[in-house]
Amino acid sequence: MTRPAGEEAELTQAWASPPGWRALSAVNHRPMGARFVVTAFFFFTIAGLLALLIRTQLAVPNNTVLGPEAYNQVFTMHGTMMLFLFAVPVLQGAATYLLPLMLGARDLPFPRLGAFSFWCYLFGGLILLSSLVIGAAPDAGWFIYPPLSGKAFSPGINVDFWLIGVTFAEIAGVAGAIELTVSILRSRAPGMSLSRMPLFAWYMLATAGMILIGFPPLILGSILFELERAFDWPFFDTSRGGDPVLWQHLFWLFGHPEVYIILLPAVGLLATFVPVHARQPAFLHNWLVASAIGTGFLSMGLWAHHMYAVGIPQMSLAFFSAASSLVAIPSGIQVFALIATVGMGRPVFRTPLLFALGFVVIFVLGGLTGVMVSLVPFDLVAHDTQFVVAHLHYVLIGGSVFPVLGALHHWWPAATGRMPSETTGKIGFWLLFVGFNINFMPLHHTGLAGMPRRVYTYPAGLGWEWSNLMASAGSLMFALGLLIFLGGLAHAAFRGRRTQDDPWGAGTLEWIATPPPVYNFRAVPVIESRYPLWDQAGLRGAVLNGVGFMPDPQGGRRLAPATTEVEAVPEMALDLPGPTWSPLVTAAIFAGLFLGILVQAYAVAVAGAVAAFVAVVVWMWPSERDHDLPREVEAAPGLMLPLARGHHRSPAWTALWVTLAADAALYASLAFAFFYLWGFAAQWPPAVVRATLSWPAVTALLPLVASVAAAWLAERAIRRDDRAGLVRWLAVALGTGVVFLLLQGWAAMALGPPSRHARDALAHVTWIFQAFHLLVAMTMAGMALARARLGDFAPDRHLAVRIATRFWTYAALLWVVGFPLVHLAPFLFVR
Amino acid sequence: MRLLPLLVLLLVAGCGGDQSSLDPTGPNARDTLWLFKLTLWVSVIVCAMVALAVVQAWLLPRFRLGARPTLWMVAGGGVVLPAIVLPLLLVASLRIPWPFAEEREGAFTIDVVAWQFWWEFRYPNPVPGGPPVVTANELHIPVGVPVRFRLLTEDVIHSFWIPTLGGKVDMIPGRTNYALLRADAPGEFRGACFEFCGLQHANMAFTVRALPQAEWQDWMWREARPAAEPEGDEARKGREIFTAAGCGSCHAVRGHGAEGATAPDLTHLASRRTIGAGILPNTRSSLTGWIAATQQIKPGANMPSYNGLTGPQLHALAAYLEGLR
Amino acid sequence: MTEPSASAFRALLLPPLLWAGHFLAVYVFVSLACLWGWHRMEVPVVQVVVAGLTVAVVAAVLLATRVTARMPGFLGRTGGGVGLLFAGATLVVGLPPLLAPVCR
Repeated sequence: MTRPAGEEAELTQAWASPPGWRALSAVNHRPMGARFVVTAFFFFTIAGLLALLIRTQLAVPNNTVLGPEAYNQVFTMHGTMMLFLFAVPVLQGAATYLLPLMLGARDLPFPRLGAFSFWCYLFGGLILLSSLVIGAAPDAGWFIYPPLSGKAFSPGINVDFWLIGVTFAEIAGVAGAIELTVSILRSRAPGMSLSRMPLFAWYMLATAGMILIGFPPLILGSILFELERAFDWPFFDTSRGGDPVLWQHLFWLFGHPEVYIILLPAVGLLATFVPVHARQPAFLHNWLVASAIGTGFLSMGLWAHHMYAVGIPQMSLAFFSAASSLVAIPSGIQVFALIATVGMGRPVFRTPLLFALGFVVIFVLGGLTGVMVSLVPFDLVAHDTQFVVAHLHYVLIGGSVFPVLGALHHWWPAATGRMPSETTGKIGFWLLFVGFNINFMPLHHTGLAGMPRRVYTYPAGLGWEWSNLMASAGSLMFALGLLIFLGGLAHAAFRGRRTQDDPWGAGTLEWIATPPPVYNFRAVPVIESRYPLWDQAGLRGAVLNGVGFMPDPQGGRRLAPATTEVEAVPEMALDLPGPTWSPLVTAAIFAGLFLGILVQAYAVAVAGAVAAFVAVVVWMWPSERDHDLPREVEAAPGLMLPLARGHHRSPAWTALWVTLAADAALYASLAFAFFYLWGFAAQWPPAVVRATLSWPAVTALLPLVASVAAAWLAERAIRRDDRAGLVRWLAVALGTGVVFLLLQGWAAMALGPPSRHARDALAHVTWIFQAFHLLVAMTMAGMALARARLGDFAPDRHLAVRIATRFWTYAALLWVVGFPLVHLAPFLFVR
Repeated sequence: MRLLPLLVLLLVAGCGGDQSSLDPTGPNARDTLWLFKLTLWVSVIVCAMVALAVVQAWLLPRFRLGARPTLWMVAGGGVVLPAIVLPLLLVASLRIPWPFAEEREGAFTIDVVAWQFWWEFRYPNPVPGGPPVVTANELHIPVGVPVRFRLLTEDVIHSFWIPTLGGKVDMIPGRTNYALLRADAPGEFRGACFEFCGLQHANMAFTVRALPQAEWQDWMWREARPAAEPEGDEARKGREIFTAAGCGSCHAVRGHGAEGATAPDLTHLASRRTIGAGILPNTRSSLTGWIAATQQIKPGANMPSYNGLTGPQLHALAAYLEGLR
Repeated sequence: MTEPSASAFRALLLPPLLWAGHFLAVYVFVSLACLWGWHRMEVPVVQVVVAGLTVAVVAAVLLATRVTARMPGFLGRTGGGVGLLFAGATLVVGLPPLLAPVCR
């Protein structure tokens, strides 16, 4: 059966991004992924140059290339940029680029969110980078421990750059994680059940889950910290009930998962490209999946192993020590399974396999020193010495940079349509590998010999000279290797030999056409195997001839199937948005808002907040009315699927729960801060003379409960096809919501001034947090109300109402924890 | 090759004591070094196993393993080995004493107060009931006795580490941490701050002298005495300059009316070997240079450069300080 | 939740969630017990509670794993691996209070 002539052109037109500068409005996953990766390598280059400055300064004792001020900015920015602006985004970019191709999807389910994530990342990164340009870069270390980074000891704008820039990039990370989670769960090709899902998707799923739980503590910490710096709310000030160690907990609650957030996707890339060059399916696929899940969870339970010397109870140290060494088991399984895949296969030793070798050697060494530092007494020796510098670079460069470079080489033909050079690849690899070890191996010794980290100079005569000189020489070699490797790739992008389809003989879907067309798949295939191109004879021909799902754009729509989470049964038809300026404009407004906070121009910040609100509402407002949309589309000959938009099980529904999980992690971090300070901070319990329960605080509970009930009644009305009831109950919900907020604001005025004590500050953050969520829910409900009056919604199509109801309920549930913390806790503190 | 003589020179130059955890002088450092060697041997075995697997996989393309032996390799290397070794290492690490010490343990206690960017040591007065004996940047401890350090900070977070004696413990505002360390043999070591604390984190070292009991007692009595009266006209003039320039508002010189408490106690400055928290030898020229150009030598230190003083004034001041034995 | 999602949840997420719950419970319990001075009681309350909690959670993880491992194919095998890993992990997290000095 042949497809109609002109269908392919129509498909191309439906998926094309505009040319020229208007390409900035593109939302397709491949331009976005490529922009992510290129931007990440831009920041990588700058952070790498900073590393060379560090090694130049430390090459000999008493060196004066950099003064202390410059050095502190340089090492802080090196770490901050490498971790926040390179390591995570480059892998998010790789996933954005590759995942839909591997999963047999035409795009991510929320293309605009993906684009928004990129612009947030770019603007956050540029804000951070601008600090370096004006010479006021953060200088308190990438972990910015207070009180050194507090207003008293860091009065300048430096630390604010960190807090604002990093938070912006973190928001991008969370947005990307929501997008990727839903993509993996809901947009796989029909038939690609969990058991057939490629390993990279498994690893990204685990990673996205970790980002959703691991980033919020830092986002919360940064908000608290900025409140302390800007308005003197004392969360970390010991004299007023704060505790600097609270910051360390929040930072490492993020910081340790972060290491695995960087490592897991990189291993996922390896587990995908190693089988190709070994010509052997990944050995022990199931174990690898179990290990990815295992590492993801275990990594959440060992944050305090960065804090052994802080003086937390020895019992707790033993816990974290035990949990830390446990990670060695899933890590060991992954490393050995990768070796075994090569060892069982018929490997072709091209550059990617060399980088896999580099990963194995370097990461194993980093893992072994990791087991060492997980042991408390040894860590008390190694902590904050050059030993840890060596350890973390073995883990991060071995565990992430080497796999990423191998992956670049491997997927270069898919991205550019041209073959990378094996010569520059191999020369580059050996320079990188040898240079890396010359650089970092000696630092193990330097650290044990007592040289601290983060020192801009060191005296002669303590036995640190030869190793530092050697490290500096190795860093130059490493830089040269990078130059040759990346230069070779850049050259290949323009001058390389053109590739035919699937040059490596790979088994996964991204190689059906090389490079893939803008719509990825002429038709979305039905998947029956983990390596469909190896096992499903005739698959390529079928896809290229349009046999499968949605070969026809049906009037220029961007159609793609959405499937069920476990078995990937086609469930509905996604109708994805095309190019739009909304993500860029919204992110730019957020950037203005953050810059306003940064320079303490609060009028600008408030204007930015209002503009951001408008921009989001404009973004969320649907471009077509429900009755203009088809109910169903023909997904395959003879198979009609409902349109996802407004459908009660659309991927947006999944996204709601994923988002609420991340938000709950944010709120849990806030509650943790409260209980932590209560349990451990000096000046607690606060000196409360008399506790009273203000009547507005209690009365407010009534409209809150009423508003939730009204929201649910609104949903019940539309289920019964009662649009008037929907409008009426939404109006009631909004009205009671406003009453609640007014009473809430009134009650807040009776609370103590936030700068008095950490408890007062936390009480204010808690009620504002809850009020903000209710405002978001009210905005959703307001939009639903407006749409209902325009004739939208039906009993089987009212997702916006369902989401508003759930979010409203969530906002109210926040107060179940919030009300006792804000209004009842003082009764416990009365002395 | 032309670098070699330079390197040798640098190695010989030396600067006041050993700062290496690889040369333990105390029980905690020695146990920890043992633990490190244990993990090192475990690592060697793991590396050998990985190396075998890697050689088979990457270098012997003709020699392929079947699924079953490979499965055993992954299970053995990834599960069985760590499942045996890790608990053993964990138990070993729990068995050796950690350097933390509790509040109520009745050991001899020295207060260590960290300041940006120097160290203050407060000893109990050998005369019962006397005020604590305060000194800076040079720690004297008796050999063979467990010493409990009460770790405090006056500003940001610092970390107290004497690598030859044992593990490090942080000093955190609002908290009091304790470390319990012992030196087994007399000697001179070097300790430093190991938590990034700002501009001069790199130059925040101190000297540790472990002395035999009797010698330590003598030192303690000497240290408890007030400062010596200045001898000679220059030193007396120096004392006047010291007072006039307001040095006493930060520094203390016991018995000379200077009672500042936010900078190193100078009562027995001349007995110390280095100044500026371990960065300069204690000589006339370093003293004058330091006073006149603190911010050039240690930019970011909390002492301003007294560059308004003339050469003779600086020398007089240095003469006074050199008399504070 | 449809039936396959429920079994996927039980196979892949229940054991780690039980582990996380146990971790938090033990950590919070020991912290509070130390704050309230329970470790100075004559009966080793802290150790007994932690050991009991650990045994209970390990048993729960193993029970879930047994159901999982009976499933054919991918979920059975992967879920079995996840279950065993987290049964071991729960055990290891429960060990320190029995080995190390409590409340120091």
